[in-house]
Amino acid sequence: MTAVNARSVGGPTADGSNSPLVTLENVRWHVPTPRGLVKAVDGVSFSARDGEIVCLVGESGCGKTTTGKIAAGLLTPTSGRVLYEGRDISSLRGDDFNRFRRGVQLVHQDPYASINPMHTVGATLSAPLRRHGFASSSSAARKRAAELLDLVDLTPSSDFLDKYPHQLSGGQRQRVAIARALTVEPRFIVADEPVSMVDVSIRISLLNTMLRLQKELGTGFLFITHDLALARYFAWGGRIGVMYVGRMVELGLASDLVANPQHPYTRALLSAIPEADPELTRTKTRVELRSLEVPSLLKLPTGCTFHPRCPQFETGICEVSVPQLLAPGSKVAELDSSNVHAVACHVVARG
Amino acid sequence: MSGETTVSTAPASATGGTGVFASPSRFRLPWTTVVDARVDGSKLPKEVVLSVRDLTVAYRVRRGMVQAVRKVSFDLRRGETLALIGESGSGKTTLALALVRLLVRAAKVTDGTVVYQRDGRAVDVLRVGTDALRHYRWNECAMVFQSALNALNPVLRVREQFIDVARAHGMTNRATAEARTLELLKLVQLDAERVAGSYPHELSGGMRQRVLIAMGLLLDPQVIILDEPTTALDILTQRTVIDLLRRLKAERQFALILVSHDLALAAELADQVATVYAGRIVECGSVADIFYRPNHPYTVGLLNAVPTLSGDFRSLDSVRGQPPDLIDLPRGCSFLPRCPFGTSDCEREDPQLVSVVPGGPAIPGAGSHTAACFHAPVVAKSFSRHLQSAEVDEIASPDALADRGAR
Amino acid sequence: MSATVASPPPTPFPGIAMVRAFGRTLVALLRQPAGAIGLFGVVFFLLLAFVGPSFVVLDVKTKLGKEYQLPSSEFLLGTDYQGRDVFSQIVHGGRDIIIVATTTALITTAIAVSLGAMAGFLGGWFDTVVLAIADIILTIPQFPLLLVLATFVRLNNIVLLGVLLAALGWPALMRAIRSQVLSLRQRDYIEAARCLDLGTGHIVFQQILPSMTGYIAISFTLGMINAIFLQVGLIFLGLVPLSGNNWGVMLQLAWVRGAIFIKGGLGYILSPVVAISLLQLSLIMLARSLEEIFNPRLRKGN
Repeated sequence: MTAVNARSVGGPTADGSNSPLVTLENVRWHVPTPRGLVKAVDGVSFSARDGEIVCLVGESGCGKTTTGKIAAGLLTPTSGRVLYEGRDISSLRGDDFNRFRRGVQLVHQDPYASINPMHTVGATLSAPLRRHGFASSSSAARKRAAELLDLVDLTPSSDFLDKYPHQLSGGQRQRVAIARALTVEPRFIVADEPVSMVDVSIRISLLNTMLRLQKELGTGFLFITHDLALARYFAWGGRIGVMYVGRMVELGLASDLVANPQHPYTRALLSAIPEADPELTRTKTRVELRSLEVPSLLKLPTGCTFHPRCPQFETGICEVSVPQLLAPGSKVAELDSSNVHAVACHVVARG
Repeated sequence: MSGETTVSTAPASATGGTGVFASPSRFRLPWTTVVDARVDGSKLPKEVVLSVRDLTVAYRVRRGMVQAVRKVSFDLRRGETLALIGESGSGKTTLALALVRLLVRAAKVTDGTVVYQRDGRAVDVLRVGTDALRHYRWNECAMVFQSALNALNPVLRVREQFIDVARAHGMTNRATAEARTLELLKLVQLDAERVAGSYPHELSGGMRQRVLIAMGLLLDPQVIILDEPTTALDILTQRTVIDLLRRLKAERQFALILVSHDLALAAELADQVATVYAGRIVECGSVADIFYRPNHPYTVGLLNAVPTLSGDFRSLDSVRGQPPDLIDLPRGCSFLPRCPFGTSDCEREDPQLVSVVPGGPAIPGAGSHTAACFHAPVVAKSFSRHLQSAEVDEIASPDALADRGAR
Repeated sequence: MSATVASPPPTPFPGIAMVRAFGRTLVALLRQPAGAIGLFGVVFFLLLAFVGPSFVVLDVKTKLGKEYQLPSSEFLLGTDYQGRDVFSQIVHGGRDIIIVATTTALITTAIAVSLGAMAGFLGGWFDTVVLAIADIILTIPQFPLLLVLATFVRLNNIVLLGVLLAALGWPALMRAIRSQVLSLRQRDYIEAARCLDLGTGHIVFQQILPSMTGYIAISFTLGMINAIFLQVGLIFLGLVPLSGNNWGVMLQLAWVRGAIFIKGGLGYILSPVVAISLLQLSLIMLARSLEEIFNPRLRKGN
């Protein structure tokens, strides 16, 4: 049982540059449906620097997956911008666009659905290698594919190259999906709940592989999860953003956010999480919510969307105006809040 | 097994009390129909409701026989919660299904007994006839399935589904059944009237899960089996369901079998925890035994694989390797290929489940701590769980504390 | 009793190596009684129609006094109104039917798959136009249209008949293919391919279409069944003045000559009916088995 304490804390950039690699600016994803406008993502801003780990945490329906797909350029936000190396991706053309397209990759949640069952592992990895000129011949592609499999700890790689997905376990498939993302040498990987479909007993090793890739290759991650404990583990040196029905309510350094949560929703979440420690979990103090009902995306509450459930609700402000994601004492919303702990709550902001 | 007395003619079914906590005698198993299946319960402690011995389930697939459950034994007492934890494919769900005889057709119980006891009378569930089995399944032992959406009929309103179940099991008076439905929905903290009139797809996942739990309680069973009750639920909803189960358990004193891969759920609710690996219980003990003093390397592996919110990351690592092929099990101990403690001894035979305390009971159940590992003492010694809260100090035994202090 | 046995979901027929996939399908077919019978039947009729004529001479000689005979050792299936051997006519009468059916099914499938895949994947105006054309064709009742066409076009060429049937037959299959592609393009692995910028050609031909081979094979078989019904119907009504010999013409002649009212005509009128029915039955069983093989949800017992 090897320890993983050799992880660097902080250290956001590999090359020391401070400009963000991927930035989401006030991104919205509003979908018109017959029953009304669904505001799946409603004004999310954050940025990630080269090699940085950012976690998006939230419950289902909070818009974290949509945010991830917007960051990966697979969905065009209905308003707001996505910047790659400081440039709006919707304005990128030709080579510039291709550089972005290859630079940001996605790893899906479900490894049973994200890999074409008709192709062998080798074929799955070779296609992008050939297409983008990372391999000039099929034998070179095969060689490179083998290297990538080694990189994601599918060893010996020769055992896996000619296998079909159905011959692999969920964890192995997810490793193939990661290797496939790596074929185009991305700088940033959006990982959407990559371990939630994988057996509990092998989740950690998958995360460790990804952490190693981050360290060795300098790949940044947007790690999307509903599990705060996993987020804390994965993003120990990075940041965690907590989302609630389409908005980001808290963003801060992973260690800080979990140890010292500010937003009432984060606090409720942390207090509600069952832990694999009987005494601890049975004696934890709980934050009681005023309501159990999750608001419908079709009819969001006014002002702060959390106010109908919030234990710190104050009449006259919370249901009136939408709180901004602010660092304590700050008046301006920060997009690149690299080290500040920002909270979107009127009550907390007032102190 | 004459089947003369059908469930629907069970006495007083329509006129019994309407309260949720009505006397259980209304729904008594029609013992007269199951004479053949009756067993001598005199040796069974009175508080044991379910006594499983050597239960073995296998099913045939093209490649061969899948040994899904192998020689599982345990005792479940009234009001007790037993959690079966393990990876997917470990056989824990098959085990649970076997307890209510809901196995797929290809699967066969090839050995063992499942003795159910109520009011001092005991019966072997595996041998009862169709009518009695039907009665047993809801009135005595209810199973709530993993997928809350699939378990409900999509084209029937919740109320109708409750009444259907009630009618099929002897509650012929519609008004009584309806009143009870509303009471139960209130009990699981739902807006009873609204939910009763809804179709399943109109409810959220958490609401559906609570509806199913309420349905499980409909006929006041002594035992409830929950298969992954919180998987796929959001954290805050999970919390509601967990708190609800804890409250119901305290109020109703039913025995609960939790089938889950989620250690945290077991830590929250279980009195006894059984680790299931390759179709066997490889360790079973009280929740404190399992989480603070594990004796089987697989239990240790599982505990070390789950990050917590407050613990450190020192010992975190996955269980290495893959779950075994249940058709072609490894020789000797089935955990050997993944075990860091394995020696050549382990190759020779599959270790028996024995008490880790000298002279203790070897059958899993209250008051026993058993493990199936030749190296249990070494494994136990090697386990260094970070102390996470002051409370842990208080509950951990002095021995275990000394153990920790020594490192 | 939904089995919650925890195991990774089974994946249907993996493999791009078409030959291996074909071999596996064949084995799976032979394992099912219906599939084996269907396959046997289809092979039997192919041999009968294409190899049989080399061994059995078509009986064209009028034999007075031997009209409308019941099956006997001399005339296996009896004789027709001119005393000619029905058996030899059956042997020679399958070729045209099968050629028309195959031509129709081939063209139908080709049009439907290419248009459907492109409409589904590209969407936009292309999708709109293709759908509009399909809808127009679908709204026109096929049989009456064929009746009208038959009065204008001399359908004495079997390939031409096949083309005509195909021109009217593709829309239903195209719609089905399109909706399949629409659902397939939502798959995560297609999204992953888009994210990797693998290109439209790769996505359609390497990722989407291979998953539909089974479906296409089934559609092909169903297309043949439909084409056989249509052409036999047309011939029977006398709208396709097909010369020569085929089961449809036999049936029509038998009907027109009133074989049904003559005791000895039983073999004559029943033989083409039974031949057509058996061929259709074989194809239906084959299609049903293919469906079961390719659609894991229909698999019994799992």
